[in-house]
Amino acid sequence: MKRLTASGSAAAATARLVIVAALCAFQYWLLATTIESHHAGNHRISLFTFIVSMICFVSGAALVVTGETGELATRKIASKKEGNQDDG
Amino acid sequence: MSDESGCVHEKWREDFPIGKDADEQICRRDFIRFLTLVSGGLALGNASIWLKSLRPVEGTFDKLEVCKVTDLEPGSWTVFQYPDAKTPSILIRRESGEFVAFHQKCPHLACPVSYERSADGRGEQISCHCHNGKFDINNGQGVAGPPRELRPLRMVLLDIENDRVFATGLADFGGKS
Ligand code: FES
Repeated sequence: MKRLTASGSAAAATARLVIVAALCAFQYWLLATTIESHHAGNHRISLFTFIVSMICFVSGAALVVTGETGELATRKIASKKEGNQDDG
Repeated sequence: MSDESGCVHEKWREDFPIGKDADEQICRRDFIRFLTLVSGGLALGNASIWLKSLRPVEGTFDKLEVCKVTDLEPGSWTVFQYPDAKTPSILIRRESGEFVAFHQKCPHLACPVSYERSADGRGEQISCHCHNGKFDINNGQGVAGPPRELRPLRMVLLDIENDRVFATGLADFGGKS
């Protein structure tokens, strides 16, 4: 797999941030709509909105975890390289 | 301050030895984690509403004494809990002396509603101050603001016996028992 450069990984982190923030905004809207319809006596959509909200959470969390794991690996490789250069 | 090599040595760098790039990186990563937590919280909120919607709401209702007829002047109101201790309801004594009662939770976003009358005492309505919702005092139907599109306020059925006001049940939506 191709490893990202420092600026590339910063851009990837920003992209992750934007996606997770957008998911949060969508989930917020979903929750407000569900509460409203719950109070209006419409209980049919609550299971559907719960599932959609859960999917948003799981995909956001997966994005964060994979992104951070990848970043960590990149940093480890970079520090190994630096170590080798110092030895040389 | 400068060290032997002639480099400027700022004291604060010792206390905060993080470079600008690393600093921004840490903030961003923490913020993403925080947002992920928020996202989990929002999903939990949806879960709790779904669980709530599974709970049956109808049932048999007890008869509850709310107050004496003389406790409320015409044009005044009070709050009581009905049908359970977690559900606030309002008892209104209208200008005409008639008693009416409704659940206090606004069907929009659950703010508490209150009784309102105009200065000349002729117009009476129930208001929700969160988004300026208004309800018809006769049947709880939303007449202005977001509640117009929603279910009306749930009406509490009342009975007056021996100068006492009793809550006896809940009307179906639309104000009929
Ligand atoms: S909560 Fe009552 S009008 Fe919005």
